[in-house]
Amino acid sequence: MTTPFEELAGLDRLIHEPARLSIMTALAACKSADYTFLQRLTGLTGGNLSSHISKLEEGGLIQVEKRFVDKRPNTQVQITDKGRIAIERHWTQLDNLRKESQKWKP
Amino acid sequence: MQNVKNIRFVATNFYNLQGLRAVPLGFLLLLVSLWANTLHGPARNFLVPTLGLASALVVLFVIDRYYSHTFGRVERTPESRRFEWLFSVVGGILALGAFLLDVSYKLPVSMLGLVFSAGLLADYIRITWLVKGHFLLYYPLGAILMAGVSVLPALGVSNWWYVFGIANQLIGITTVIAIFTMIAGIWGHIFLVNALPGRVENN
Repeated sequence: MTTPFEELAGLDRLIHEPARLSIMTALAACKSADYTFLQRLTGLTGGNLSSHISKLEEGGLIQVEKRFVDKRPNTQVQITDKGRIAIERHWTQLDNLRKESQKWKP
Repeated sequence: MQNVKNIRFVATNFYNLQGLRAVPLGFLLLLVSLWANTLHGPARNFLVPTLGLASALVVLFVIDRYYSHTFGRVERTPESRRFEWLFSVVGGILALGAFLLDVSYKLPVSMLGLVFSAGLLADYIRITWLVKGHFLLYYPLGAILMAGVSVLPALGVSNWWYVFGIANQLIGITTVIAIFTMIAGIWGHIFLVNALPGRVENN
């Protein structure tokens, strides 16, 4: 059986960062979303959002598609199967940790 | 970071929360109801509803662009699209049936109002199914209000619509639905604005 510390250490750091966790959680709830929506959701600047999106894309957790909508450039982001499994596992781990922590005694 | 429930709810129901879309439709229904209220016999001139429909379509187009540019785009999951499509078709058929019953018989209740009430409640369950929380409470509140208004004649409050200068129950109910649709739309929009504050951090 793993200890709570081992559980914490075992969390996927690529997903656990708050902004990336928000992005992944949102993308898991829909088919795809664009940069404008993700920027409104996270409150990140364009540069920071791009940086987080690049890291998630490099990890194979999301796919990025650049296209034109109404003659304007539009970047659509979609979660991959690997990403969906990873975010579901991450939330399960966090839920388990939360439940375990309630049993801890001072 | 935002509340996880909030993120899931907004991403899942992004389209439903774009409440301003409902305002021109509610306004069109109100306009048609008030126009029907002025008729004394079969309608001959359809200029008012036609102009209302054209205006509503133009405003709807502008609102669609506003949401896309300001809040971005979210594509729903295929399951969500299918379910919403099925929900719309079943709701449309039931509403049409209720409308026909209301115009064909003098009932002590408004079937259209009851169907609208049931639809609001079913829609509320549908959109909060995946994400539990105190979201969009005006849906169940509206359902109770509509059910209450629909059964007023059966409860002894007959001809309540005359108080407002409305000719019959059907026009009274469509007027209430129209006003509720506009208020609920604005409410949904405010929820979306608060859920997506867009406070962009400083570099």
